[in-house]
Amino acid sequence: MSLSAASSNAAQGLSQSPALASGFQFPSIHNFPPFYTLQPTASTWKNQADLWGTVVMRYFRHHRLYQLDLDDANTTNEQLFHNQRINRRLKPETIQAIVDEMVKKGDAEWDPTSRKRKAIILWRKPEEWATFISTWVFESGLNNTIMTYYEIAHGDNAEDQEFYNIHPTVLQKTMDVLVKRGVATTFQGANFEEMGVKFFNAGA
Amino acid sequence: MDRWDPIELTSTFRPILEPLETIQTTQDQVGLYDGRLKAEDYPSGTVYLTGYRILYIDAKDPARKSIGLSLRLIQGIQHYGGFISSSPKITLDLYPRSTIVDPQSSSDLISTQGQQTLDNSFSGLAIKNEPSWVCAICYNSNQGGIQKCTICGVKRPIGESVANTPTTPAADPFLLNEPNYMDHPFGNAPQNAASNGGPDPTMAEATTGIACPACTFQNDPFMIQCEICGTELQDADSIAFMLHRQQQHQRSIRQLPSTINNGAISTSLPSTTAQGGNNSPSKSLGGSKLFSGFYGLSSGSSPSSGKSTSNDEANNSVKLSFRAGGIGHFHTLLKAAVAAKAWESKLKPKPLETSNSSSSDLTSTGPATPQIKIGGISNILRTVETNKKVTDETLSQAFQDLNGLMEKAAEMVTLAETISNRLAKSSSVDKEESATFKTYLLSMGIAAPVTKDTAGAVFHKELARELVEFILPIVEREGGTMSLMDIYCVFNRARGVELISPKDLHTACQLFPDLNLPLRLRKFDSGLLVIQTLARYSDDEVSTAVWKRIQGLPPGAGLTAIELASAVQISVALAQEQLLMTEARGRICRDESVEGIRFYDNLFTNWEL
Repeated sequence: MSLSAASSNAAQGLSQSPALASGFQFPSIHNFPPFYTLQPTASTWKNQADLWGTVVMRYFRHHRLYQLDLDDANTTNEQLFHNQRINRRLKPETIQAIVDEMVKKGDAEWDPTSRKRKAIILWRKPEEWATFISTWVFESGLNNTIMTYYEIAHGDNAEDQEFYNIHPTVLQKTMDVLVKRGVATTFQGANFEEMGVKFFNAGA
Repeated sequence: MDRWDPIELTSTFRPILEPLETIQTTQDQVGLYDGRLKAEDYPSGTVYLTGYRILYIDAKDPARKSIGLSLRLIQGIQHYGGFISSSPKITLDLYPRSTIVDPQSSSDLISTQGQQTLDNSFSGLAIKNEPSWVCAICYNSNQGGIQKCTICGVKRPIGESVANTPTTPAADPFLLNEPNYMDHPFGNAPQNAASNGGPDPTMAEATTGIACPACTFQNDPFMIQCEICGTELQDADSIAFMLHRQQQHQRSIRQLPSTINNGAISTSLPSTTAQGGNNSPSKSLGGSKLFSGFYGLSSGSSPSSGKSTSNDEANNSVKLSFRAGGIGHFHTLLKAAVAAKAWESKLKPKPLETSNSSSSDLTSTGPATPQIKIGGISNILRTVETNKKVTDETLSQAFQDLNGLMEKAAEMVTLAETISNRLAKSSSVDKEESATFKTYLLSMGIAAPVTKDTAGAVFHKELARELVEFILPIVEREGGTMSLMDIYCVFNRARGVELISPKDLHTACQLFPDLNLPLRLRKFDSGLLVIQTLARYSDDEVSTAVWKRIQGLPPGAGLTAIELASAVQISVALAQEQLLMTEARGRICRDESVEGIRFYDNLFTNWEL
């Protein structure tokens, strides 16, 4: 993907940043100074927010991240929203505006208790996760047995799966989808990780 | 209205003044009266008082209905304070025409003059074709054409004006008389005389006498005014017809073959008057001598014309009706202007030229008289020295105090022009200096700025017009847009000491659309006010130019308002505005940082990830 982008954007004179230690490479728009200013013109802002949404999703997917925390001075925020090469940084309110745009498209969800300080980035839709998880359950022969959420998210069997270390909120959404599909049923537990789920027989 | 001359106007409908002519005051909503009657073509306009003239510029049709009256024609000024709904007026008594044109100069002149005055008298009479009416409020008898009482200004009752119009057989007498005249050019004279001599009522009715609508006296058909009460009798058409016939008759007399000598003419003259059917003495048209009657009508030179005021007033007096006030100020200044007789000094050459050309005379009249005839280098040197001295004196006088500077303003401008001419000729001065000097000259542009004193109520309108005249070339040179702040500076610098407030400028600029001037005040979204030429540089063109400029920058470089301003020589505020406008069109995007706002090409639009 970066190859095609590089060819079409090569003329714009923006240099490509070196890849991060994690192997992630920001697109060259990440070095465009206006990228860090909330554009007052509506049409320009829409394009800008779309670009940011795509960059954020790619970054989160690459690093298997789920939650965006504005108050957390972690490496994620530093790498993603702060470009030290050109000395530009996104303001928190601009990030909020970007996430707002992502929420509108269904690519993110605010943590309702966080007053727009925390958000879940849905780089994969709950429907997709539901398919992944149910496929994994049937392939592993774990249907008709009760599993806890913890087993799905952090269990040994799931270690090589994409949903390993999935965020609880995303997992809950996924389970809601599965229940709605009639593939599984959930059981209340003492806490979130002790919540149980039982997958029915395939095709049931 | 024949005393008024058409005047030249600028593109913004301000009068073009003669050299050294200055506007003393201005007043709008002034109507003109021709004699005692409203001049219908000039109902409301702006009146300028200058040192030489009174100028009327019509509010609705300034291009065609703008006229000027030379102050030198004014004999006396009467002030009328207004009463109830009658506006205050200034009546200007003019010198009779005869003092300007001598009717006795030649027979050719007589004929042409007769023609002219005939036309004039038509125009004067054209509105006097209705009978008089009596004001319901003050019982003043007013002339027919007047719609408002001349004393109290109360309107004439509408129903009355129609009802009172008499059914006088106005045109008929002439139609009846004409065949007579044609058949018996001289023969019917006694018959007419007989009929008029004895005021037999039956006879008068039969022979088309005119019953006076006011007093019912049966007048002779050729009378214009009632013999008893002076009421107007006939309509304009019939009078015009009669005058025309009389004139034709005169022409036929003049064109008689040479066989008829002076004696023949002298014999024929009484017969013409008899033909005219006029046995009434001392009325302007019906004088016993037709010729003198003609000139009495127009020139007012005839002593008898003093009584028949209507015609003379039409030609020898003019009224200005001040419907929006300002009469006191105008009256004072008008009196001062007439007394000052600025036009008399106008014929003199310009002051500086006088001093230069007469410099040798100056020295000759001085103590060093014996040196007059010295020629050669010493004389040249001396002349140069004297010139320098005069210039120095003018300069030192001018800068002694502000008043002195104002008085000498005209001379200073002339001096500056002379210096610039000299600079242009001399090659020794480098171009930079002369260019600097030229900008100074430009700043001295406005010789007689519009002030609140001279313009009064129409100050802002006049200011707007002056501003457009002055600023239009500058705005065009600046690319069609200038911020109001810059204009304020340039304009006030050019006005010298007559500074205006920002509010006045703003108000004047808001009047541009109303006055149909080719500039517009524009407020950008940011609140910046600019003056733009009308639709010359659209926003599209400007934003495209800015966009192209930004695209042409080296890769990754942005443009700030300051950089743009210095690159295209506009003010920073305006550059900022152009950038914001381009940004609003989605062509560029911004980068806000501690260094300020930089604008970049909008890469977001077509970026592919």
